[in-house]
Amino acid sequence: MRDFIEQLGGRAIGTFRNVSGFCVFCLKCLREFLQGSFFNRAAFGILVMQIFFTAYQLLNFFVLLSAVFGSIFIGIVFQTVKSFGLVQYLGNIIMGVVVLEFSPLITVVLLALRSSSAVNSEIAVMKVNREIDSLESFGIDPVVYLFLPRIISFIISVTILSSLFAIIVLFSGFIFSSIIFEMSAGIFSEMITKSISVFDIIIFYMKTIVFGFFISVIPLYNGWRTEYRSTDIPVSVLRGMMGVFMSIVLVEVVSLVARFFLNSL
Amino acid sequence: MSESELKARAAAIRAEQRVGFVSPDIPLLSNLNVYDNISLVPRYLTDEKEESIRAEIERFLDLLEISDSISKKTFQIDSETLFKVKLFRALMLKDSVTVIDRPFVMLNTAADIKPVVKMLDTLELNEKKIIFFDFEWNKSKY
Repeated sequence: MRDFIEQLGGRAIGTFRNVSGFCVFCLKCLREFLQGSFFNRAAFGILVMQIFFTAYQLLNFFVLLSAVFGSIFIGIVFQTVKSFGLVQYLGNIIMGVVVLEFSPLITVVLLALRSSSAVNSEIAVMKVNREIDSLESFGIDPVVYLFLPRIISFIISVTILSSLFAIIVLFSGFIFSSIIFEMSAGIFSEMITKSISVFDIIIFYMKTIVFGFFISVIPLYNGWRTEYRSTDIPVSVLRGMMGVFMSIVLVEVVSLVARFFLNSL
Repeated sequence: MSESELKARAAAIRAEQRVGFVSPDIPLLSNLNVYDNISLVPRYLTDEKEESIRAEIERFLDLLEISDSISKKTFQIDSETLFKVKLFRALMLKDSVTVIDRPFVMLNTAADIKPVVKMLDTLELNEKKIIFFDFEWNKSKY
């Protein structure tokens, strides 16, 4: 019984330390962000490189994926709408489901798979090789030089790529609507503008910012707290990626609730 | 951080000076090339112009005949060049004491400090204070 209580207490303390450590880490990143530390020229160079790696290098593949995936999804939605006779709700379905929910979700999942795992392992390897200690020994703050540029680049990348995905999906929506429903461009754009509110746009961009923040800060934190052992690197990446996917689900649920609440006002 | 580095740092703090470490325990950044590793310190810590930083680094590299390594990553250079790059990085820290920790380990050499002394002479570091941290217990080698 005593062992059980000790185990339980140990786990509770461990979890509390982990959560509080994560919160302190986030607050430090936020403080440096508000102080504009990323304008330091060494850090700014890293920021530009990270945007290049995270968004620009992915662009061709992303546009292709958006066109293929978006068209398939729009096609399925249109066929379903037609067969159930829900044409009057077409605008709401396109904006509510495909653009506002689907675009950021697909973007963030793709970036998490491609870039979050890479960032997590990069920072973990740097920690194990004592490269982060090396930076600190020269008075270079790893939060300013390593972490902040990556967080900002993820936020910018998720926002830009989600918007791009939404534009491509809307364009394929227009093409499908003209084929399936013989809808003109004027009617299609009127239908879309009628079914979107300012709250929707605010939540869309808030969501992309929060997504970008979490899919960068969680792998960075997990990489940073890796022990000085190479065997700890895969454990750190595993923990980081689990955290990333849990945060994606959490943000998605919270944003849905917020949209429902704000639109019912 | 090793015990020797902690002691050196403590001594420097007492003297209110910064320490530029050249140590086997303080590596270069593996995702940066030689130039970026050396220029990182002044780029992050000072407002010195980019052209002046580049000119200083190129002069250093020329003096020690390792100019061809400027764009190489750390895994592409030998232990002697690695030592020189670590030394340059430490020297780029202005108003600091440079602590060279276990040079024999870094240079893979048994007992000859002459190449290091020659290297430092070549660089003409008149006002720079350089400490060999293992001097006390490795006196016979110096």
